[in-house]
Amino acid sequence: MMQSAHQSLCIEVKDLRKTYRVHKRAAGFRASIKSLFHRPMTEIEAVKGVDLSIGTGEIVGFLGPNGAGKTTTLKMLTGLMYPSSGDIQVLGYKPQDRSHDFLRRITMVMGQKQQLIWDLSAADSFALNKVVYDISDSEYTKTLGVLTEMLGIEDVLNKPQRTLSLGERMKCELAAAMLHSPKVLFLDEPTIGMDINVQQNVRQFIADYRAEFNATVLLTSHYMADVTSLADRILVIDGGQIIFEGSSDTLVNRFSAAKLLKLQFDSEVDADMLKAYGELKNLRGLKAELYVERDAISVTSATLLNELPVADIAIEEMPFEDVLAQLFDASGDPK
Amino acid sequence: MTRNSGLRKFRALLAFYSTEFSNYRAEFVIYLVGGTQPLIMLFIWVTLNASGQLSGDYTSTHFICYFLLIYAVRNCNAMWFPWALDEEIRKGDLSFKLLRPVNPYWNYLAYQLADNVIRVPLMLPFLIGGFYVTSAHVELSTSHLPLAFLALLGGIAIHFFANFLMGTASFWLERTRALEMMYYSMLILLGGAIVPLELFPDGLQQVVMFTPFPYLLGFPVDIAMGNLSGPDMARGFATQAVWVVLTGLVGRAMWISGTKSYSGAGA
Repeated sequence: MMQSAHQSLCIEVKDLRKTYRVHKRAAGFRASIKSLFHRPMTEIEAVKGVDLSIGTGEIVGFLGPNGAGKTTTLKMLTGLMYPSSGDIQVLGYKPQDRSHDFLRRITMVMGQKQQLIWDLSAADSFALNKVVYDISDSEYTKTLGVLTEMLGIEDVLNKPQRTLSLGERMKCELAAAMLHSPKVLFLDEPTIGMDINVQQNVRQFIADYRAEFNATVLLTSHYMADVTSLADRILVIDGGQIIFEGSSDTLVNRFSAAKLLKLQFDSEVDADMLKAYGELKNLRGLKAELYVERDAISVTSATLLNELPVADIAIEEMPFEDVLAQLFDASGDPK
Repeated sequence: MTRNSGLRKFRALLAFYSTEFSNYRAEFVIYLVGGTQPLIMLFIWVTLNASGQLSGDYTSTHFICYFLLIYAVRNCNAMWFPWALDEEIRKGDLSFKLLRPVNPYWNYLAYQLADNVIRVPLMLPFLIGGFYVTSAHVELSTSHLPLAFLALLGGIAIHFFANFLMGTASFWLERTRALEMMYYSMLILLGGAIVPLELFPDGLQQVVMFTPFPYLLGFPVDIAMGNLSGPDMARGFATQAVWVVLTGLVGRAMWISGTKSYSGAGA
């Protein structure tokens, strides 16, 4: 679902910037002692003029290497952090004002942090959220019913958090974050550390939640499957600037100069020999994957079929994560 | 937020933290039994008095009553939340509180009151038992108890605001423990927990009475024992009120400024 003219805007950001002042210190004992007396400050421009527009009901994947400015941008969009300059409108609110009406309409899930109290049950925290978010009894019962069913957490609601598995805790975190039926979800690595099954459950939950509540979702994740399976649109940020905006297919087409050749051989082939045809991604037994320049793919395929004992050949687009890895490598900024 | 909605939220926070703290009742009892520094001072001062080394006309029960009350007051204003606040700011967990439609300030107040709700009833048997065994309650001035209670509340308010202010300093300092340790040392020394305020040398006493520390410990105790004249009490309440307002306003200003520089580390 690309953001289009008829779709109402949910998030609008213009020339957003954030500069941090941090003190610089080299590693080691000598530097520690020196820093007691002298702390040179340095300015880090984490976000350098970001513009973005996200429509109501859209799921947008926000990608970038570590330190690219993803989380900083997300924190400014939720009002947790004050921007150094620029304009942000989320649902018509200025997030940094942190008005209660605004906070009631958004949520943020931080995969690396938990809001639920270790020694209390999720039900205790949900009861608190019910009052804090002014949720009526009927609305609470209904939403809690939907969330427990979607996430399959009915049996663990009354157990202290410390007795739950990571997956169960994370699902309870999601329920706690959604109990007030937020219209905008900021999800920062929501599936981090989860096993494949739980990751899939959470992805399904996010998709179902959007369908049920027409919610807008901005999602960061290092798991490409989260992004490729959920996002209508992708934003790539690097060095504090948006360097790409569009679908995952467009990203692959625009940034991958190579295609992936998947080869199956009749007999063993030497790796050095394969390297003459392109960049060898891997060679396992009789199977190999080779990156070949987009323009040279036809010629190279024909040559390979002639010169090597090829049993089967397939030409594919470069996998999404490989394109991103190449893209981030090429951008050159220190990460 | 209407007043009713605000009160409802505060009650919910209070219930939430009380439920959390009720898990740790054994820890509370250990703190109560372990917080015996005023009782050690009690024995020292009773011994000093019995040996005739004090110039005033004091009885042993006077010191017993004073330090039993100091023990009670210290338990009423024992505060752990600045440690939590310090950690939350530095590690970024404050983010969860900032994302909720309730000012985090009410969280810390509820956290503190919940602690008191559990701690004070557990402390009372120790206090009553102490008075019963020693008969030191004869030193209490029952007519002054309501005023002493008011002074106790004023002291708790200063202590809460000062702790909030110190916790908030984490927005700029990497750790605020040293600041808190210094504050607590001053409190013990100048608050009357080691030497009763009335035994401070005159000049020093006059200076100390301008600081907030006596109003947290010794001031309510002295009122409860009828040690202060009317004008002294009035001056004391006025100074206490100034400190309540001052610490409250500075803490609020620091909070507003601090949240603007908050980076939500690691989130």
